[in-house]
Amino acid sequence: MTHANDTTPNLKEYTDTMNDLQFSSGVKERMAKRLAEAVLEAQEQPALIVAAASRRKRHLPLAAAVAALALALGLGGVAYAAGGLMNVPQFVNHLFGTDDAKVEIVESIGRPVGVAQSSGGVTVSADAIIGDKTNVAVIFSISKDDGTPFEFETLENGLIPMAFSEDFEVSLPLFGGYGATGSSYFYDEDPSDNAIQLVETRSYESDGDSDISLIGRMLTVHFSDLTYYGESENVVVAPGSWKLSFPLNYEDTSRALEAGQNFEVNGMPATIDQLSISPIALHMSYTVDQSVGWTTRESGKLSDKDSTLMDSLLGIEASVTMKDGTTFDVANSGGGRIGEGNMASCETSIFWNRIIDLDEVESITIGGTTIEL
Amino acid sequence: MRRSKQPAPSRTTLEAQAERLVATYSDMILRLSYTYLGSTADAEDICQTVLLRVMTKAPEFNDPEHERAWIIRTTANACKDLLRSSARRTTVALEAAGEPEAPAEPDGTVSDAVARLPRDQRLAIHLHYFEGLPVAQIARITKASEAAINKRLSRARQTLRITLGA
Repeated sequence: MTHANDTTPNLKEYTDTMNDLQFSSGVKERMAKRLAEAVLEAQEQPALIVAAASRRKRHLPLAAAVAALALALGLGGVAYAAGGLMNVPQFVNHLFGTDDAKVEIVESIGRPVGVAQSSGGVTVSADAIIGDKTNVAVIFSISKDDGTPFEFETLENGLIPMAFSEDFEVSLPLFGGYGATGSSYFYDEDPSDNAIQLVETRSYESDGDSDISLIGRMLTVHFSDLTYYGESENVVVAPGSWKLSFPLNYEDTSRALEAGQNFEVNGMPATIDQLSISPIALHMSYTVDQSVGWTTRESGKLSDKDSTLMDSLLGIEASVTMKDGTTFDVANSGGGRIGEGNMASCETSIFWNRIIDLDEVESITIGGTTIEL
Repeated sequence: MRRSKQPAPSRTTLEAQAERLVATYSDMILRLSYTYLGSTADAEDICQTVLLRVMTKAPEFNDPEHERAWIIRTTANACKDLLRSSARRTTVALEAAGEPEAPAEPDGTVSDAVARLPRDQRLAIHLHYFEGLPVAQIARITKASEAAINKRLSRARQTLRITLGA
């Protein structure tokens, strides 16, 4: 509303001169051509998305040795309903090692799914999801329809060296183009039953857009040819194809915090661009005063020097102080995205090592800078 | 590491999309980047950056207004990134001689007065009075509160009245 003492000056000259500010038709033609060429080039050399989950010391009990994934997102699909074997509290307990999280928090961050598909005598069911605006974890049960147990040797850390074949894809159609980092691992919740479990976690890039959210979108997964990676050979233990779609219908528990603070990441000055927390994770975008230009991006492999720099840039350490005076620390040991340029534009998510009640958080300290809630 | 992606659009599709985006938004991006940066020298690069993002990273838009708002916000972010770049001035100085001509910058009493406003105020003025965005939308784009945007507009109007003798 314009008050009497706050009248708007005559801006007609301004709008006229701004209307005259235009690119010439020649420049526009050149830009359109360059743009199309750039997209074609980008399709041949997709932007590097860092996926360092294998180096990531996430505080998920079984996630220390999981496979690294980097994905661009694909197409949707359909699935049909059946029962799920793992419920949300069980999944929370598995991921965070706690069975005493507040019921109302568990009910807000998680949802049962119960969508399944059978193929070749094996049923894959999506049992439960846990997530926030940019992070999601899904637990699947893979069960033999004849009722007999899978019999695989597990690794020392309790994981089963298995994966679906390379045409695995995860799709969030409305998220098209946004990258993600995450982890994927198999384990056996109950060796006496006929099922094993697959846990998929994903942290999606918001690319600076605070409106981006996973919530309400359909997640589609497409698995094929379940393969066991033995010491001497890889064996397809369940040939087939499974495609499941389900909504990410948990509640939005993410809370945006004030940004703009300066902090340090491994001695490098940085500025927080966006920061949000949820009961399960911290998500932040930040700019580090460090020039970045990956020299080996064509091959997708980084030199030792670049790899060290990447770990340093993404090596965020945070300490959470609760209102009762207790604190706990979390650290990101690698997962995230780094944009190239004279200033490193970074984005990462760090899962907490516990479920936290945001109303009980006093402050978060990141790289020596404390942000009060 | 595994990666999958959607089937790639054809060259013809991409060229048509690029032409539409340039025709629809390039001048808007030019004006906004000039407002933000106070110069047209980097406008073509900003335009290229923003429209490339539209073609490779944008979400599905609900309608043209959604697309426009997304592009405005992305332009503001691209300008901010450019300002943050410590090498920007050096780069511009070194490359200026060989660069294509930048569009002529606006010249006029009121335009000059707007150009002398603090960046956040001239951005608010431009988005509100030229692009016609409501205060709430400007607040979302600039990640400021509506109260802050109203204050910026009020201060800008006050400065302009004094400067222009209105």
